[in-house]
Amino acid sequence: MRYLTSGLENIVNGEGIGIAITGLSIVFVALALITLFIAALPQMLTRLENVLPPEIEHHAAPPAAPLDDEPLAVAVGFALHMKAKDQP
Amino acid sequence: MEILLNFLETTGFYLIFGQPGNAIMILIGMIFIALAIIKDYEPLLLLPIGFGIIVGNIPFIASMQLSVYDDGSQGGGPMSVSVLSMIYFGVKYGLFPPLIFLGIGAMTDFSTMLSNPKLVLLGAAAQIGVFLTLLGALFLGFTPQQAGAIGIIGGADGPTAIFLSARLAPEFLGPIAIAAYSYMALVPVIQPPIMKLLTTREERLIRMKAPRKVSKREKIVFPIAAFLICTMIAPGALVLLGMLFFGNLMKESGVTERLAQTARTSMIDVVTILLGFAVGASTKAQYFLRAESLMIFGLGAASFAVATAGGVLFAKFMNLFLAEKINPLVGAAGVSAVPDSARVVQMVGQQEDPHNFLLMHAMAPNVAGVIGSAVAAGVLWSVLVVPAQPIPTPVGEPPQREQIEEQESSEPEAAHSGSPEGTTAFSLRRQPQDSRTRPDSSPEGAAQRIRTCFFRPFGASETVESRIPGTYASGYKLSPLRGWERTTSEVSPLEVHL
Repeated sequence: MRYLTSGLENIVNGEGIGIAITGLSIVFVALALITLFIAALPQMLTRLENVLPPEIEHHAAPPAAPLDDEPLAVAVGFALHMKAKDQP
Repeated sequence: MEILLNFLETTGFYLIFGQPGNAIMILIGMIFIALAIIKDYEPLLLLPIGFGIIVGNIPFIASMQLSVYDDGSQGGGPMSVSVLSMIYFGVKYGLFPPLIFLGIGAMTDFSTMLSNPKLVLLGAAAQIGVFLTLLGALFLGFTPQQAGAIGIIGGADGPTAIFLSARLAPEFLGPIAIAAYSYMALVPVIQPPIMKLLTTREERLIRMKAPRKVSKREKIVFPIAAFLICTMIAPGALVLLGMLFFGNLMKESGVTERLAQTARTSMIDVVTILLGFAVGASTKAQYFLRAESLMIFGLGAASFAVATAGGVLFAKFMNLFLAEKINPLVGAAGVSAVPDSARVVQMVGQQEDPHNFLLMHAMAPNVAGVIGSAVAAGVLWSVLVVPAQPIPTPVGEPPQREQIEEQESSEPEAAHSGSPEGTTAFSLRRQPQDSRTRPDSSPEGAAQRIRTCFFRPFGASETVESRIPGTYASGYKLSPLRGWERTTSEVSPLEVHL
């Protein structure tokens, strides 16, 4: 087994501080650029509205069958009727 | 009777007495399975890993090639390659993580991130765990490459951790993968105390504005643009982010719904099974039970805690400048661990206010954390990968064979030490294999490259077509040895082939 020797000089020798600061900065820059891009995206798309094709749903699901709400209407009607009947 | 005794000596019951480490690992595997089944901690990961640990630690005699490490590299021919090593191939060479990312991309909805882009920065802030852990690992004496691989545990992203450690520190792939997945499973345990410690009750009660509706065009443009931005900055993240955003584009485009459906269901399930099982099976006690593994686990836990704290504190910092305050709890979701850390944010938020729904808001830094950890991995890979040795430009006449032999005999240790400075055995001044060939800058050379580079076998310098009627197999010449110039002879292709 290789025995590890701890110490601050390992960080210095391995350029740890530089790697950490540079790495974190690059991650921040990348995600900050994404943030800026996302913030600007709606305006960009609005300006390109005339150029871009209209939004369409590909392979859209078939239209849903009309809701068979007759039993529901009967129930609501019955409830209203009972309520009206109870009132003086 | 002797046969029976010989057989008994090959059984696991007999061998395990000489290898108590395997018994410990089998016990750990059982604990993983128990956590998955009883506590419901990430069962999709812990169950395959736990069973893999048990499988990988059944003792067997050395002549039976059964473990994930019996990949034929020790010699013995094709039959010495174990089935487990074939499954482990996907881990060892980083094949599975990008496929997992493809599935993640196909199931991820970036809408909340697109509707509130400032939350993306929380995903970046949480990556501080990666880089502080790198410093911690360096302090403890790990090499920079190993430290980078250990640090990425703080990204809370198992596939990314596997991908990077396979490249930077393959010797610690098992402990790093197990640590990453274990802590991902323990997110509901690790994160809440840190979140509560760093926030006040008033902050936890902050309600955030409902996210706006995001158009389909935004969703389609985003994966392409984000991929370009990230990989132009950190090309090392190309494979992971390429698959992530490709999967997302398949989902959002609407024209490849069938592919997206496969990627986010069947494919990711198959890869998860293979990945978890192979990672578990790689934890053979002889490789896993060592002091470094314990240090990796300790650093991994610290990494998770620091990443969580980094996200929460950065959210509080942002609140100093924002009119519309962010609930600092969502910062904890900046560690990727999708979607568990977002769920934890929701849970902790609802403990204070049952009507505060933070889940959708937390998903924004959560997916940003996935991107951030992949970028961090790309950066670490770029910075820490051992640079390839420059190919020396041959000057003057190539050395004669006698001169080389004389030089090698005068420095025998360097010739056979295998060190990069010395020559390796079995060849005259031959350096380790390098797939690059020296470019010929002349116009004829350029044309030749275009003609042959797409058709030559791997490692060949050029193809040689056979002109004997009826024979169609093409031969090839091996790449020239380093330091030797390619000479052009006037022999016909037929003569060369023969």
